[in-house]
Parts: sequence; C-alpha cells; structure tokens
Amino acid sequence: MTLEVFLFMIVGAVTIITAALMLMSDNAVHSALFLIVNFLGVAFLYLMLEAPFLAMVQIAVYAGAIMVLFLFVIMLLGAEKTGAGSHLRRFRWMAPVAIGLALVFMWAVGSALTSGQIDMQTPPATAAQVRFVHAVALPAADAESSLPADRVFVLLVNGDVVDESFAYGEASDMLDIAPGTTTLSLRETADGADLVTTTLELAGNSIQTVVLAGDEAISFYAVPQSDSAGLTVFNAYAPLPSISLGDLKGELFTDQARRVLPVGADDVPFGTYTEPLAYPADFPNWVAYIPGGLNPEPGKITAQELQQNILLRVSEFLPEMRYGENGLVIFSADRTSDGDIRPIATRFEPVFVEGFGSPVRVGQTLFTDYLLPFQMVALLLLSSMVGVIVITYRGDHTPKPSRETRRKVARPLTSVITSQTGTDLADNAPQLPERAETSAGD
Amino acid sequence: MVQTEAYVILSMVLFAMGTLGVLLRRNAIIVFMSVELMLNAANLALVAFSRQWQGVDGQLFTFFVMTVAAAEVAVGLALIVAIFRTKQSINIDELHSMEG
Repeated sequence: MTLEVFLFMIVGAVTIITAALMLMSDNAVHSALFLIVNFLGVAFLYLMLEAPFLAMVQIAVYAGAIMVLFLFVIMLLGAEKTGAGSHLRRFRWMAPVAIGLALVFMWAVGSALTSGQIDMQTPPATAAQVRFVHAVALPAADAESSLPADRVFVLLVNGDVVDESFAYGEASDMLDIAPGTTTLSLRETADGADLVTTTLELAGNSIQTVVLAGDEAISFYAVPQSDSAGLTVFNAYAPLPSISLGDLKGELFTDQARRVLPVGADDVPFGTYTEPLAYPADFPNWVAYIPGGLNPEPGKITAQELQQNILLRVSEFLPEMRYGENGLVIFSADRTSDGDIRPIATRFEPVFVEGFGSPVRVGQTLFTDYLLPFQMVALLLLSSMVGVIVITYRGDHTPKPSRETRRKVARPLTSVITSQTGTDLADNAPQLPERAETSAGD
Repeated sequence: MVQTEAYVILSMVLFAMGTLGVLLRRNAIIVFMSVELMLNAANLALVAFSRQWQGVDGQLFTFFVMTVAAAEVAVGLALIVAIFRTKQSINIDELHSMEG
C-alpha cells in the first residue's frame, strides 16, 4: 500500500466518521464543529486530487465563512439542544423510507461502477506541445553540400506541412500534436522526396522543443521542457564533437586568480542536452570552451589558452537571464558575413507550464470560457444579499419619541416670569398643604 | 495514485449520509448542514472526475457550486431566523401552518 492510498483511507475514514457524528450529535454546535472537520478532510482530498486552489477555497469559504455563519445563527437563536429523540414524532414511516432510499442510491452508483458504465480506464489523449527550432547553420562559403544552399526546408509532421519555409534561426510556435508515434520529415520542396525522416514518441501533455541540428547529416533532437529552475543547454554546434561550460573568474586581474569553476556541463557532446543548470546570481561569466582546453587548477590558465580555447562568452548572450529562471539555450553554428562559421548561443524563453488545478490555470479558464457563468454567479450573490436583508428586516419599528413628550422641569423659569410680569404664575402650580389649614382643622 | 472509483464511492457514502440527515433530522439547522454535506459529496465526485479527464471544467463547476452554496446558506439561515422570530422554534415538524 502506497502512502497515498494510506492517506486516502485515513482521511476518507475521518470524513465518514465526522459526517456520522454530525448527523447523530444532540448538540447543534457539536454538529457544526464535526462538519468543519469533515470539510477540512474534503479539502485534503482536493489536494490529493490535484486541485490546490479548490482546497484553499474549501477551507476559506466552506470551513471558514459558511460554518462561522452556521455557528453564529445557532448561538443567536439559542438552538443548541436539538432533541434528537423527538425526530420520529410525526412521521414514523420516514426512517425506513429514508434508509431504503439511501440504499437504493448506493446500489445504483455501485452497480454503475462495477458494471463499467462509467468509463474510468481510458484517460483521454491530450495533445503534446512541440516547437521546432532550426539550428542548422548556413554552410561555409566554400563548402560542398547536397542540401539546399540556403538551408530552407519544408517541415512536415505526420505528412502534413506545418512550415513551408523553415529557415535558419527560426523557432516555430508551440504546436499541438496528438500523442503517440509522430513522424517528422524535411523536404526541399513540398512535393519532393524526404531529406530526413525521424519518428518521435510523444507523451501526452508533454512539452518539447525539437531542434534541427547537424552539418551534413541533419537530425531532429527532442529536448523535453523541464519544470525545475535553471538553464538547459543543448549543443547543436556541429564543427566540434563536444563543448564544455564553465564560470570563468578573475580574468581581468592576474594569472594567479584566473580559474574556471565547473557548472555541471563538462564535455557536452553534440546533439545532447544537460540537466537544468543553476544560473548564479552574482555576476556569472559563463564561457563555452573546448573540453580539456582550460587547466582546471586555479591560476594555471594562461592568456594563450584563453585565446585558443574559449569559443563563446555565454553570459553576453543572456543579458536578461535572472537567477532562478528556467530556460533553454541552444549552441549553434552561425555563418558570419565573411563566410566563416562561429558559435552563437540563442536563449529561448521558458514555456510557462501551469500546473493542473493551479490558481492561474483555474483563473484563466474562469475568465475566458466561463466568464458568463461567473458574472451570473456574481449577480446571484448580490441578489441573495438583498434577499437576506429583505427577509430579516423588521418593518414594525416604533417612531422616535417626539419633542412634545419631553418633561418640563423649568420651575426656576416661572419665578423669573413672576418677577417681571407681576402676576404670580406659581399660584396655579400644585402646592403643599399649608400648616395653618391643618391647625384650623383641629 | 488512488483510483477515481475510490473517490466516487466515498462521495456516494457522504451523499447518502447527507440524504439521511435531511430526511431524518427535525432541526432545520441540522437539515441545512446535511444539505451542505450533500453538496460537498457532489463536489468531491466532480473534482475526482476532473482529475480523471484532466480538464479544469469539473473544478470550475465545483467553484460555482461553492459560490451558490454560500448564497443558499445566507438566504436559508435568514429564513430560519425569520421563522424563529414568529414561531420561537426551528423544529421542522412544528412548521406545518401551510398545510391545506
């Protein structure tokens, strides 16, 4: 049993047990808490199902926002005690019918699964993405060749022309090609005979760069796209059997400090590619040199060795290459205006491979193919918000107390009026019974 | 890799439990939570099939189901609060004033 199956069984058991506890718990708050654990388990299953974005949404929206709303309402209403025992009071026939329904449902799904009516075994064939790069240099001015002098070919994939004038230095767009065995061929004219024919095994969903390289014997070389950061170097420089790459340090100073640091690409034969190389952040000075030409011991490289063996200063061709990026660099031969052949390096932008179920992939699909449903869901949320306000709005509010009903406590003011008008307003005011009357009553 | 069938069976079990909760429990809030459980079970099946067919569409449907579920919970809980104000109870059996 692999770790994944083990985790699935554990998390699946947790979701089922918490769902059962949610159903059977007497306390509604406990039910809500069990349901939160259940949702967290489902979020974990989403992670296992290559849906990290949905897993995060599940935790934030479901286990977070929705369940907080539930708990809030339960506690607002004081409805914790649900009285699980009284659930059969009115409809006694409900329980057996419900269990029967559930069993029928499970039988239906189970029989559909076992009888193979759900087609599980044939995952669909997704297209492979392939781009073609023409790295066959123009021949030297005095060279004899059976190939067309301008090295412009017609490129065919499975017998269909995909590029009618495939010239040196060109890179095609990414082409979607059905996976499986693919036949690549080159012709001088569309109707002519095949100059080169190769078959290539393309895996579904893979991303590859097919480099056309060679001098007289041209071949197709497939370089798979790497996900890891770093520089993949492909050697298409035909005049030499192999090249090496190194980081040349201290060149400007003395011979003592001059040395070549290995970068993991010693002796790369023609037609092969390296593993992704880490491109350093601190002023790299990568050079391509003839293997064995530079003395690996520090301080032993002479100026003459440098002159004779260094083919190319790679870093000059990668001005925009940053640390941590991934990319593909192809060394190829180039013909100068004098007719000489010299090496050059061409960097190809990395193809941004979005993982299945990643936020970017989901977002791209959401805002292109599903823009209308997205807007409609937004409208639905807005209208439900208005609906909630309407439902819970209390219409029978009492009016604010008006000005007239305030108590008057202005007794000192009456004495002021009395002193100014002469008439005693205080006569009408209720007064305490006088002592004289009480004595007269005696 | 865990097979898609396993996820579908788990989703089926969760959905059946949600159905039982909706039909058997009398507390309106528990009934609501059971509906959420059923929606989650359906979502799980959608995501499992989405991986099986290597298409993002199933995941987007799950996304929409989550959004609609959020709206549904907001409206439903508001209804429960409104009913509780008038009836002082959220037991479904006592809410039969609309019977003919």
